[in-house]
Amino acid sequence: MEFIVFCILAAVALVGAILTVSCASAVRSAMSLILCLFAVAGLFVLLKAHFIAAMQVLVYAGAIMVLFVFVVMLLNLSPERFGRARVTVLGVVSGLAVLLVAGKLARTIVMVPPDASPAVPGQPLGPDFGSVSTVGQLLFKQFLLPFELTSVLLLVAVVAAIVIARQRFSREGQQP
Amino acid sequence: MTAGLYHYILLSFLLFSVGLLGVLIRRNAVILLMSVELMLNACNLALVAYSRFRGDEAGQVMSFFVMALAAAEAAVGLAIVIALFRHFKTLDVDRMTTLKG
Repeated sequence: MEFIVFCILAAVALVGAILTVSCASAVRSAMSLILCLFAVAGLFVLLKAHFIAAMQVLVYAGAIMVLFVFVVMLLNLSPERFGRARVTVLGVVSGLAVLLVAGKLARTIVMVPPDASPAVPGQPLGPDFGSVSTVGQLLFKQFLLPFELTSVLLLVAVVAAIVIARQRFSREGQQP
Repeated sequence: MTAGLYHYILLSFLLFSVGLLGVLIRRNAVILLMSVELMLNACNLALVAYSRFRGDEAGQVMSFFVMALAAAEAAVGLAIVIALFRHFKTLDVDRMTTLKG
């Protein structure tokens, strides 16, 4: 049963990913990416990472993708101005590069035995594995410094985004 | 048959490859950024899968940090896209051939 759910979610995620890359229209790409992100959130639930699944839907599918769709609509892009991916020499070289990286990654996957047991022997999963309280305890004790650094990073990113996006307006304001 | 670590890592690898291909072949700057998000998400899936099959929640905390990083990257990236669009009047990265002023 769990395997069937995994297969369905994996297929949806892959189709969403391929549509994201192949759609000519940026809005369709964004919607396909949201589909893919929701499917991955479902996979997180299967992996008993409920907190991360909720964050995936709230932060990724909610906040980040709304930002993307907002920018696409703000710039009012017409899909005709971008063809589908053109087949060029560069494209062929890119494809070969992807194959190379894929081969390197595939060698790592081969090292994972297909019938790996669901948990390390002698370490059965607790009933509250992946719950908000256990992940939160870890986040605010063992990973407190990275957590605080993340907040600084987000502050810097927000300030940088405002500065970069407002540049033109401030320059015009200086020239009366 | 149950879904093991192997299947999750395989899926994560496929999603990452699709995202990488998107970064390399697409010319629309916004879709380029979306492909980067796809790659980060594939990494998240691998982190959470290893966390589950090792019985250690640290992987989930790591994927939480990756999400915060993705949010910061999207904010700065889209601001740069807006600035580029004002300057070049296009989003085709092939036509952005100058980095000067």
